Amino acid sequence: MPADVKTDTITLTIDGKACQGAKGQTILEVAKANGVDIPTLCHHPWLTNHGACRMCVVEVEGQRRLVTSCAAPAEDGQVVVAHNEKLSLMRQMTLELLFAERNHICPFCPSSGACELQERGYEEGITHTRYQYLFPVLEPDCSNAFFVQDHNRCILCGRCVRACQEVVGQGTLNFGSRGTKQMVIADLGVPIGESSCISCGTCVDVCPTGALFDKRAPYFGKGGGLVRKMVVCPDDDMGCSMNAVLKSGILARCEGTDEAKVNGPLLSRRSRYEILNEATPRITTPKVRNEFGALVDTDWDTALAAAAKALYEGAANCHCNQQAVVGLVSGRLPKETLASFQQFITGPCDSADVDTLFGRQRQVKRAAKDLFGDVTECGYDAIHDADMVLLVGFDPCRTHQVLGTWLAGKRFNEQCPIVSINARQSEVTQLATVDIKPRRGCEHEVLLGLLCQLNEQGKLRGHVEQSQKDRWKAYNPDRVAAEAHIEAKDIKKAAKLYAKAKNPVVLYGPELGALRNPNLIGLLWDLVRLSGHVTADGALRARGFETEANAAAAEQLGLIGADPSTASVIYMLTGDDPFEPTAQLVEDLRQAGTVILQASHECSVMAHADIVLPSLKWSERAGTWVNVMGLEQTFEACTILPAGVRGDEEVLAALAEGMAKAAAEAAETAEQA
Amino acid sequence: MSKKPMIASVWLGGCAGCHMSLLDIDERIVALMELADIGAMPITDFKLGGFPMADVGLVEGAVCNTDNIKFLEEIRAKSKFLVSLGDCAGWGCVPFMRNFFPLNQVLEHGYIWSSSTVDGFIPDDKELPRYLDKVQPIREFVKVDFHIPGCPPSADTIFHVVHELVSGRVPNGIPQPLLHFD
Repeated sequence: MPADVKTDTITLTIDGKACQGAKGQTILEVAKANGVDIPTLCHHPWLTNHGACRMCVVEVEGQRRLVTSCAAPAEDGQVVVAHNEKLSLMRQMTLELLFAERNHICPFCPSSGACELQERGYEEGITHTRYQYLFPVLEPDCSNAFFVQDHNRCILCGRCVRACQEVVGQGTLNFGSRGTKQMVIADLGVPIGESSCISCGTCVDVCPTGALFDKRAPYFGKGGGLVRKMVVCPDDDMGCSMNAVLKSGILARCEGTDEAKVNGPLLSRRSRYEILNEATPRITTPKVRNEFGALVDTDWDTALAAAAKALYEGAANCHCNQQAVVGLVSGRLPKETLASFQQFITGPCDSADVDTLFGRQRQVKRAAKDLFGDVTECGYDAIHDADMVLLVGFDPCRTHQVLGTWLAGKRFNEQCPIVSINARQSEVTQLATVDIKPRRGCEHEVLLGLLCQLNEQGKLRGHVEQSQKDRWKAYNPDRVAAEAHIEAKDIKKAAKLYAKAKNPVVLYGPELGALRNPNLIGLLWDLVRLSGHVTADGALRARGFETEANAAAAEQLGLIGADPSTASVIYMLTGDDPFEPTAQLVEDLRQAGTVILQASHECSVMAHADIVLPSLKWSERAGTWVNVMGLEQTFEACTILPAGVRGDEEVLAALAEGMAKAAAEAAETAEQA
Repeated sequence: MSKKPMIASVWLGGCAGCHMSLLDIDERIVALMELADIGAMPITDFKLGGFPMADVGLVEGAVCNTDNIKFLEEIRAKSKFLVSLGDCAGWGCVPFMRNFFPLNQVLEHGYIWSSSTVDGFIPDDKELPRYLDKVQPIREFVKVDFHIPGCPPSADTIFHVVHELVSGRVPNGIPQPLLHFD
């Protein structure tokens, strides 16, 4: 509650009970806070109130009509009746009208058992409806890949419409037509699958009936027997979390929860739906490449012994300064697993070459920090406050979808301009006010061109040396446009938008890191610093994002670089990372003496692996994740391991033991010799 | 000893699930039999002749054809207290789904286009009952005194209501734990 509650405290009587509340609250809010239960249907804690369903009607003394308590402001001294026979009859009638309006057939609805309409019906003791059915013929819309909209069960409460607008900021869903013909439509009445819907599924979460349901829901139901566990979304480093919904230990679906610290109830298409798809078969037995070059199933002991032997020999060679063991680990794994892996590579394997799969991206930022000094970058608040967004080498609509959704909301609801500078094809283009797609490698020129423009307009407030200014002067829009194959007016427009904004924010992403040019990051920092865009607590209004969910933890642990090009043994712990090796890494894998792969699903790296060990997938992992802002979150595993799969830590311990054994054997042989 | 109340039941456009659920009251049927007589019922195969004058009439199933109406009106006329048993009778439920399509299309699908049919035709013997244009819950045709929802209603719910009725009490709704629509 706000601090000024004392001065604004009001007291009203609800059902004879004196209830305290604050000015500005609705009658429903005061009642809820004071433990008076008023039935609701269209009200949802994530959303604004709408007053559509008339379930929460109450009598207020002195008012002629019933009022909807979710929308009526509470006033001092009000006398409210929330429960009496008349109100009950009204609610029954409302419910019966809802049941009669469309085709509500509970027995084959996937939401039966968790349907709020049904629940209200039970509470009011409805056994049938007294009204004639309208029998509207309404076709379900199955065009979305992940969920179905069945208008037959829709009660037009508008929760999905409000969620799409308020939580997601997308505004795809809306009401079409009026009266009995009113429908929830997507865009201008197109099938959802062809609309501007981003398949985030928030509308499915808030739907009180079965009008919007997951395509998996009919197999799992929504009613009893479901367990919810909070898990991290392992797909990017934003630190989003969600509820995994389990039935008999099987993952039924993912749901948004307002307890999520970063994303609230908003999820992305990837974290809610695509994460449940397993594109390739699960690896449940260890495999070893035989003398004919084929990967064959084997037992754990054989595979572990072979891996330990290869690692021991690799490590032993390391002392002769020849070749080394290189450890590559997926940056989406929990901090604890990353630490165990690091300890294993630096300890028993005696190698300093350990890093995450996308470690190179972090290397660039580290280099930038070394060159240009450590800077503090802004948090999510500054992103939410921004009145202009400059994206550099960053496609949040593809890699950081929740952020992409936020930006879409900013673009369409706040008219916040978005400028994207990205040499690659990006999905964020559809949001961008100005889309600059320079020739690959020319991002540098574009940024200099931007600085040049800002300098000429006198927008750089900080002290800039003359030599610096002279350097920038050369990058006039026409020259930059010619070099980078873009249009001069775009540069001018981008500079104008950035200069005009009060709180612009610069977001750069993995694709910038992939260019391996720390100067680019330095230039961005200069741009922000010289323009004076610093938050109240001294952070630059800029923020870099990484691909890997736990990149920050890897950085904390000091996983700072591995060079697999001369390795005799490459040990890759990828888990369920949907990672595709670069051409360079493929070459390194071919060159390496032995490649050990520990992965949960079959993947392209398997073609180069000599030993394959099963691993865990995201839902089976427990531990700590550190997001891009440094927020640490700890989660438990939500599903159990399939038969034959062993935990990563257990495997690492077994390998260390195997290596010690191999060392002892080697010593024995040496002695005998 | 005064005459025991009579229970009769009929099964219209339904799947027999509600009568199965009625049988699921298990040994409690003995207690029920001590309180009441069971007259005509699909379970007794109507071997006792037509509908008796009943105190409690139970109707399962929605109204789909002219025969259904005839039976329904008969049991209504002969029952003091008519109970709709289950979702088909009270809400429409599965039989109701054919309302989404024109009747002739439904019949053609069933009798002509179904893949196992050769030289199919829509039966039109005058002995056969006529289909109604729309399937309706029974309350659209007769006055219903009490509704038991559920697909099927649980045995406990049925027992509770029937037991109350044959004991001479009219239940005031269905207690919440026994009330379900699915």
